[in-house]
Amino acid sequence: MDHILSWITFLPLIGMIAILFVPKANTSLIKTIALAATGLPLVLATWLYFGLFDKMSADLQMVDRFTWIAGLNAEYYVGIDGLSIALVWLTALLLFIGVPASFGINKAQKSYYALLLLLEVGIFGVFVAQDYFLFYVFWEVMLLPMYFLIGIWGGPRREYAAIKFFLYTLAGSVLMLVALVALRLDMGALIDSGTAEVVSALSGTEDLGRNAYFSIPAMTALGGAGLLTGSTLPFGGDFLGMQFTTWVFWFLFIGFAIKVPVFPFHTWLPDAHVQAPTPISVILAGILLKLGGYGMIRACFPIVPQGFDDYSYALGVLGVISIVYGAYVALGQTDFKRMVAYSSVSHMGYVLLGMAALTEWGMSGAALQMFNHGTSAAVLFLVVGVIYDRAHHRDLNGFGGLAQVMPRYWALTTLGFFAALGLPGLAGFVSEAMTLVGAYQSPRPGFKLLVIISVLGIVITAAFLLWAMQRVFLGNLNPKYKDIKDINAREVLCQAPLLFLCIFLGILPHYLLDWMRPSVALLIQNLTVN
Amino acid sequence: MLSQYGPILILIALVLGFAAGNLVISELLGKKTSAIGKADAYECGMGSIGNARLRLSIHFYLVAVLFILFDVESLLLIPWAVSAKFFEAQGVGGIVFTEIVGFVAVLGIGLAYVWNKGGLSWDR
Amino acid sequence: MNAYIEQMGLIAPELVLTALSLFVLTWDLLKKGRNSDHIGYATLVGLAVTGWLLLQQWGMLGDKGTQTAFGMVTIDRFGTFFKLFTVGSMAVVTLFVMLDKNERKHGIGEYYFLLIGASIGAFFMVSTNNLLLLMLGLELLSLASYSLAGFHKGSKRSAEAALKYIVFGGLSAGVMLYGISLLYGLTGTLDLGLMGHAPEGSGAVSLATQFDASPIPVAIAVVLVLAGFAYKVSVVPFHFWTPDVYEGAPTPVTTFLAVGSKAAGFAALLRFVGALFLTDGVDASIVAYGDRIGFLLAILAAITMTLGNLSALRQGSLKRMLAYSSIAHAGYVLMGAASMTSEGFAAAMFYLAAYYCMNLGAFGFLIYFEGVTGKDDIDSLKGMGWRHPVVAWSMVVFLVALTGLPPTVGFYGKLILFYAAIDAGLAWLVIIAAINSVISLFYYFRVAKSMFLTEPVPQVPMRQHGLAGILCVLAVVTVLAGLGAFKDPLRGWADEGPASLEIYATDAGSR
Repeated sequence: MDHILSWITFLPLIGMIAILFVPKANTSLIKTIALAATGLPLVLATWLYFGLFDKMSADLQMVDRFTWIAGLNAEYYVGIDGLSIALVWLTALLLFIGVPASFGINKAQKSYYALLLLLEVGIFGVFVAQDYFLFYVFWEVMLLPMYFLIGIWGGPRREYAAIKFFLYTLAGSVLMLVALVALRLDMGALIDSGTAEVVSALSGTEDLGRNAYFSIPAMTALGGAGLLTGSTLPFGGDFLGMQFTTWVFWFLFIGFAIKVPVFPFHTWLPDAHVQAPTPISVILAGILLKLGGYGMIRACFPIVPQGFDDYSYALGVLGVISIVYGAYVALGQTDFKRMVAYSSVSHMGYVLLGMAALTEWGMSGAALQMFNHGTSAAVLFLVVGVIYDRAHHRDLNGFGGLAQVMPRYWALTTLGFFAALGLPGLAGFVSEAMTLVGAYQSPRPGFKLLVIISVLGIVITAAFLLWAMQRVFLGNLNPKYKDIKDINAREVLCQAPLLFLCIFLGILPHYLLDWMRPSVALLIQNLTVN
Repeated sequence: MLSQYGPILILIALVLGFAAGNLVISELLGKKTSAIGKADAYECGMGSIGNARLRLSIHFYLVAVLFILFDVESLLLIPWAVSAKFFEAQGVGGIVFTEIVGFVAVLGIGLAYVWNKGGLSWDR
Repeated sequence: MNAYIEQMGLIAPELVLTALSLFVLTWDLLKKGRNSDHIGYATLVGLAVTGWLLLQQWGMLGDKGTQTAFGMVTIDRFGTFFKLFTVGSMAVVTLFVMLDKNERKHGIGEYYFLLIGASIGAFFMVSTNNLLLLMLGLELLSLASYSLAGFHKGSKRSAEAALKYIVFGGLSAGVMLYGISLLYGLTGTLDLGLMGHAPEGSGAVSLATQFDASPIPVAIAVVLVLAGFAYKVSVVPFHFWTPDVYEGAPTPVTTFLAVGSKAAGFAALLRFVGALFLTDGVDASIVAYGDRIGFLLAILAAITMTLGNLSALRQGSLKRMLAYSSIAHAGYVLMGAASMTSEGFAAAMFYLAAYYCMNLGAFGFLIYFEGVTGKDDIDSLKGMGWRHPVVAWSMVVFLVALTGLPPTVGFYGKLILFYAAIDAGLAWLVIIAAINSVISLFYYFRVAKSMFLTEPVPQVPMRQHGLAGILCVLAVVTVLAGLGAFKDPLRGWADEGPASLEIYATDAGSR
């Protein structure tokens, strides 16, 4: 099928436009359209994953490419490889789950589903874009629907949380934009110069002979060859006493780190999570955080490998701080959702640690951890949503003994908690173990120490999850909740596929690893500075 | 050196002499009357003592502004008239004449506008 | 004889506008103050004719411009670009006047007359290489603007606005004239081309020669003239009039001041700076000095955008907020001038075009909102998003564009401004501008917050379909132009503008 990536990306947009023409009162039709507009991409993505995609190749596949804005040398350039295919599929799945999970929302449903679909377009777009301009456009397109989704349908402090989310993310992305503009200028000058070095660096890519100054593969090729150093810019590769590559690296890194979020840029996350409605928290934790990690390995590290090489230890340290600090703060929370939010900070720390180590295990583990956290965090937020819908509060100390009245709910929750804390046999264990082993293997000095410290994070994670379980489900039944209803079929159906994935990928992780192996190998090769 | 400034010195002397001479002559020859108004400083017809924030009719300004407007604009006719012969010789006399007719027409429209809006009548 | 008529043909758009202004005035007189809507329609027709003539002219001009009226008037693509947008914004403002619920429906022929007069001023201001005509155009524009700002005679705010505007305007015009007279004294000409490069026998001395002999008077003269422009486009520290005048003036007038008047000021500024320091053929010895002027402009840009944005943060009135935001945007545009390259000028022109789209939209929303509630504070917007969804979502598009987020023309404009600035070695300025757009997000989205995030307050459920339609169209244009739709004509036009700036030394010298 031609243009499958474009179809996946823009089907939700078609759905959104369709919804705009449906009368406000006809909510069942709106929901149907939303289901269809998220379901079809899921079908296509599944087909792509198992059918069309060649998992033995590290090349970009399913490429769609044509000149878009000639004046900027920007292209519409989408493609997919082992790093992004799993995340595209996860996006399709979580957004599809997000629709039925939102059936409980009664306020302004038309706007809600329209914005949800617009958000999906942005997320898909970021994962498939191979042109930095396109990437950036999609990156920013996500912000607006997210702002409104948190701001309109969120909790009591939603206004504050929404603008905080928006400001943090925008602060990161304007830094990205500055770096991007500088990169584009340098790319333009390099490609126009047409020297033998440039030609040989580009010869392996499809960019030879195309004046695609924004092409991420071309940037990767030139960056990998050590040519993208800003020497053609007015300040000649050296700005305010720091190298151009260093500036670009940090600007791009901070842009993505805010999204991950990495300590110390994480403070927007608890607010956004706590105030967002359940389905939005699911998408936020499941997908949006992954965009940060994905952005780093797609559009930051390979473009300025020198910067990555210089500062990889700093990244590892940030990762470990996120792991331990996130878990430690989660331990102190009394709000169920806030606890889960901080656990996300902790889990995403593994991703950064694994990437910084620059070993095959570490990098694969990081990619796997992104996927697995996508499923387990989504489950946790759904779990919180279930109890919040019934009790209308999330105070961990305000429950007790719920296992007696909600046995099915307890079972699902237990599974989700164990997946999150990395119980062997479940998905989280594989990826966390892989990142830690990968980091331990790293030939770079000091990583062994980081691994030892980060093990502390695992212990604390287990502690806060088990303690939370004890407070909510075990002990004496709080008489207030003796008539509470157990989890219903719709809620089970939302959680079931995610829990299935947690178990399945815990046993057979190669269903992800095989797909990403060639791309990870290529990535590591690109990142290794001679 | 200094002798270059001689004429200026003579001029100063002449000016001072003229002023002083006039005062002396009028003191000697003039008829003496005295009144309160006569002792006042002369300020364009305004009372020199009183509130400085004096109100004047808006028409005062309006008429003044209109006068300046039309006066300055019609002044343009003079340079035009002077150079009309030159344009005639260049063979563009017709166009230049049309232009000035257009200009006067614009002035005419302006006048009609002012008239119609009551800018010229004092009572409104 | 025919040559004369041909030369007249070059200023046909201006002539049409002049005829239109007289027609509007006379018709209003004859109708004795009955319904003025017909006059609005007549204005629209006249503007359409002007626009059509300008498009014809654009096609005929080619890369290089031409001069007429003994070198007083310069017709080139640079000027025509701005004239086209002046006409476009005038048309939208005319519609705003007609649809403004707070405006009288009869006896306001002068309103249209003054607007047309202001645009005639803007037309001559953007299409001359001669400082005298430039000053005359600027004064015509200013005088009409002063009267327009005070158009609501009964309103204290409006009167205050007019008075403040005229006092500041008079001062800055004086400063600018002083600068111009110094330049004339130094070079013996008022023609910018001759100042840039004076050929043998032209009777003028080029500015470069004078600069080599005595740099300080040249510097003073240039800075004084720049100060005059800075006032017109409200660059810090000449911005103090902006919020008060914008707030007090009738909102359609504010729209014109923020859009048409500001763009004309920028056009003249760019032409002045370009003719003296940038255009091909300018004497080499002064180009280096131009870089220093560029640096001065860069500093002004940084201060302007920062101060504008920070002041906008605390505003309670949407109108005042937009006024401060327009100051901030002047800072962004100034980045393009500061880079002192043709790319920078083209970027500034493109950004101004983008600014037309989004600011017309934002002010149109303000007029709609004032029509519904009779207020202009942001808190009164509560629930607007639910009661007037189409208009409110259009406003969100404009806010996104003003912040400079994709996929809107505001982002595109900012992006190419950033290119030009980094290419000119002004990376620090780009970083400041980037941080500024984060600041601006906060106050722009206070509006979105008020409209959507807070619970609705009861309002009179009144709709204005005409205005809503205009806003929709503007919103769609804002997005499409941002996506570079239809082969990106806007960018093409903007790129051709600076290329058409040139020195007309041969024409002027033969005088």
